[in-house]
Amino acid sequence: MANDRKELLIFQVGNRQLGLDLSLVRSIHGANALSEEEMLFEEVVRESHLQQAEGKIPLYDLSAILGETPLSHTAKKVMLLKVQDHSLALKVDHVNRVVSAGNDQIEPLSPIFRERSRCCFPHVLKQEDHLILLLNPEGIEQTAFSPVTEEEPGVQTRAFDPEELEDLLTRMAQEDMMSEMIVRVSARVIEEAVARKMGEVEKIFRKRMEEGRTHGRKQ
Amino acid sequence: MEENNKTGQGENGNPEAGADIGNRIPRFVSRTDRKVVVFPAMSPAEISDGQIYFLFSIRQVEEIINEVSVQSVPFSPSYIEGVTLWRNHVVPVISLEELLGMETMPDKSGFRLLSTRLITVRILPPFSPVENPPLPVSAENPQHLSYAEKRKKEGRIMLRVAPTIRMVSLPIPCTPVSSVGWIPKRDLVRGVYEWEEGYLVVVHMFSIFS
Repeated sequence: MANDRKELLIFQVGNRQLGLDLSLVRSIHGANALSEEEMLFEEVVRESHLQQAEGKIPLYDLSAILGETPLSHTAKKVMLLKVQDHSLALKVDHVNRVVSAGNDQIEPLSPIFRERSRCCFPHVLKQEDHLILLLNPEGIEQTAFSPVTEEEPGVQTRAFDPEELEDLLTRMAQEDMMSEMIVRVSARVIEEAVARKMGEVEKIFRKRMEEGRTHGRKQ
Repeated sequence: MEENNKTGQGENGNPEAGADIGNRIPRFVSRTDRKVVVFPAMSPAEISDGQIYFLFSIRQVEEIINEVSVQSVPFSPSYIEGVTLWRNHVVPVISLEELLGMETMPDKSGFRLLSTRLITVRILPPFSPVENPPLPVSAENPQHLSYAEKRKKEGRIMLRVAPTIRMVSLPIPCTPVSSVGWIPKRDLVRGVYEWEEGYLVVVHMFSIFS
C-alpha cells in the first residue's frame, strides 16, 4: 500500500509550533506589509463577532485565540487560507518551513480530549523527538465564536450546593486564590455586615453615653 | 473471578474486578501469584483520614518513566497536561487526582517538589482476551471481535504519579468502602478499599479513555 505523503506548513504562534495542510494555504503576507486598505478584514479575537461584509475576509489572531504570548522580535505573518467554500486569514508569529509527512507520522488526537481541542487540532504530527499539533482552520473559526461552555477549564456553570460552595471557597482562600471577582461580589455583603455591626456598636456607645449623663445628673 | 472482594482490576477493566464490591462481605482477595502496582495519590492525607493509593494490574502498566517532554493542547481540561511521544505513540499525559476531582497537594508543598514519575497504562476495551479467552466466531457470537481487532482499539494514557511506586503481591487484605466523599467523580472509579496503609482506589480506565 502506498504511503501517501502530505505537505504540511509549520508555523509559530508564541512559543508553540503548529502545522497546517499546505493545500489550504493560498498565500502568505507580511502583516506589516499590508496597508489599512488592503487589510480587507475585521480583526477577530475570541470574544468578538465577525462583521460580515462583501469582500471582507475574517482575520483570526491565533495568539489571542490560543492564549499564547506573541513573540515580540518577529515580523508577524498573515496566512490566507481557502477552506471549503470560503476564505479566512490567520495571523501568526512566524512561518517556519514545509515538511512532507507520511500517514504513519500523523495520528489522531486522543479521544480523551474534549471536542473543542479535537475540533481545532484533530491530528498530531510525530517528528523525531517531538510532536506538532495540526491545526484545523474551520475548528478555529468555530472556537472563535462559540461561547464558553461548562466544559471549559476553570468555568463552572452548574449550581453548587451550600456545603460544596463553602468547601470550594475555603480551599480557595487557603490556597490564596481568592479572585478579585469574588472579593467584589462579597464586598457589598461585607460592607453591610460591617455597617450592621457598626450600628450595634453605635447603639452601645450611645447607651453608655446616656448612662453616663444620667449618672452625672444624679451626682 | 472469585466472589470475594477484589483489589486487582483486570488488565482492561474487567467488570468482575470491581463491580458491586460494596455489597460483598468477605475480606480477602483470593487470586494468588498476581501482582499489582500501587502508588500514593498526590493528595493530602487529611482529606480522607488516611493515605490514598491508586492500584493497577501489573499487566496494565507498560513502563515507568522519569520524565518526558509534554506538549500542551489548547482548550484541554486542567487534568490533561498534554501529549507526549512514547515509543512512536502519541499518548496523553494526565493527573488522576485532578481527573477524579480530588484535592491535590499545593504547589509549594514538599511533596510536590519531589520529582514525579510517569506511568504508561495500556487500556483495552472491556473483556480483554487476556482475561477472557476469545470465543470462537459462530452464529451465536457473530459480532465478537478478534484479538487483533481489539488490539486496534487499545489506547494508552500516561499518568503523572508520585515517585514511590511499588509492586504488591495479591492477595491484599482489605475492606470495601462504599462512601467516599473525597472522590467527587465517583463514576470513574471501580472500587475503593481500605487496607492497612490507607485506601486503595481502582480507577475505571476505559471510561476515562472513552
